[in-house]
Amino acid sequence: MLDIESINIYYSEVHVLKDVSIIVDDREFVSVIGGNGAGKTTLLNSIGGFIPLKSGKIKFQNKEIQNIPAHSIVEMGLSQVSGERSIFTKMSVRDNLLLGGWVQKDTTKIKNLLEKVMDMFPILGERKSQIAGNLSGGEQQMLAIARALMAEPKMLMLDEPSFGLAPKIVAEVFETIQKINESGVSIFLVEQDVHMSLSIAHRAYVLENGQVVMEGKGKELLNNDHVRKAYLGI
Amino acid sequence: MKKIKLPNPLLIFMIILGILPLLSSQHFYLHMLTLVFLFAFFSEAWNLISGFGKQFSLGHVAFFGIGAYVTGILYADYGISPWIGILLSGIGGIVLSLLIGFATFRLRAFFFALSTIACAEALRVLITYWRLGSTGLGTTIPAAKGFKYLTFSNEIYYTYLAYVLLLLAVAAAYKITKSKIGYYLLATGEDEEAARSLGVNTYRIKLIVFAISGFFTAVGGGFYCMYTRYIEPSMVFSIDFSVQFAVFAIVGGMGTIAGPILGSALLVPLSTFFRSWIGGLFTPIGFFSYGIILIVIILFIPGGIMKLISLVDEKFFKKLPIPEK
Repeated sequence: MLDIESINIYYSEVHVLKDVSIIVDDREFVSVIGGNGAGKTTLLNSIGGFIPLKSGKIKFQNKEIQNIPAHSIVEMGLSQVSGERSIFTKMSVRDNLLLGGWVQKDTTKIKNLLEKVMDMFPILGERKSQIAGNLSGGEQQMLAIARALMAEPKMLMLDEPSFGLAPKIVAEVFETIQKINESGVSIFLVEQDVHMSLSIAHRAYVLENGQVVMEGKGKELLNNDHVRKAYLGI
Repeated sequence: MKKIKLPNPLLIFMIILGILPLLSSQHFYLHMLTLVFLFAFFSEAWNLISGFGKQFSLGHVAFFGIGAYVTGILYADYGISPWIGILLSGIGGIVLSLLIGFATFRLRAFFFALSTIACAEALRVLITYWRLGSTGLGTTIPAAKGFKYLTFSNEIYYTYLAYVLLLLAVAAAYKITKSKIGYYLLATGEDEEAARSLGVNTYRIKLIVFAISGFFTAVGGGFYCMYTRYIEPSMVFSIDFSVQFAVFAIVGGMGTIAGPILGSALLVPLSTFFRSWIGGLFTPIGFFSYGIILIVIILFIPGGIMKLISLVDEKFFKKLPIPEK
């Protein structure tokens, strides 16, 4: 479904991503782990159309998307939940969700989706008229995910959904992501919470200094010596 | 439970404004009202792109000046009716806004603001050189009586024309904030990257709204030149106008519909008072005191008058249309 073929990215002189190749299959849950500055967010933003490539190809459903603007990529069915949650804090929860849904033209469909999403996240249904900035951190993350789902993506990319959340909430968020995956949406997750993401991902890549240094099944990597030493401190 | 539907406070506000010109036929009073309406109109147009969309333009005088020159020159040199001239001014405003927008909307925040100033200044210089060849730098708009030439002996006609302009801008702003474009615009203003990641073509949204804003401002420029009957590049392309459009909206409340009107209603009379009365005694003191008052207002009520009102009563003049349950 997503096919990244040896992409290179530079921030002026700095070589941030070096020949990175990643594949995500239909309905697959793939995670990328790595420390700070490994290039995880850059990778995600380049797929989303926010950062230009120096070389390489990104294919989504066999179409090259590396030169397509960000807003059109969403229309193709590839949605992104970015790192800083970036919900619209001054708008109501419902308006936030609607903004996510307007990629679709059919208004009755948007209405149905709105109901579906609120069923999936009951807390958002309860608070639909509240200003989004008043939600708790976990609720804001749920809103960001729900809003991305309003576009009915075929694949969802998430940038550190655990960031700044309490462990109990993190578990809830990951459970939700897993459910979304089970409903048929491919997941591409970039995460610092290595233990959590490796235990639910089908496959994972380890990114270090802009290079993929390891690749394998999530549970396998969890038992890998290098991963245990470098990321889990065991 | 069914709520009793109150009439829209904005509508009541606009009706009250519409009655004001009937209260006195004194020339100075009507002149003041004309200016208040006109500047509220400009500020409203500015507020569309800079208040709701948070694309801070300090070059709106470019549209104003182009509008004034299109209407003024077509009438003074070619005898074309100012009504047609004003319409052409509006079209000129749209074209100009698209040109400026194409060039500058890839820039963010301060760089965008600075580049809009540069565009306006470039236009001022261009028009100055263009007009140097003709007789004198300024252009006097000849007086010809009659509705057809937008010339009235009674001030109240101008006042009501300015009111109609304001009404149109308010209606447009209201319509936009209730529409998809409005939500996209707010989203773009709040977090452009996030809006793009939802599939919003933020560049297009900004261009559309900038064009609407430019259209209104240029139409107003056309009307302004028929009102003052004299145009000159250094006057109608003066950055003072850009700043005023912004300041009125900021003091009244950026990103609100009523804000620019309140700002203009407060500051137009105030600046006239300081300029003519106190400034009459000793010129620098007039501007100085006006400046001090602006600083005090912005320091103590950063959200503007609308913020003050919304603190007093959350129910009136809501910034965002919160949909009912």
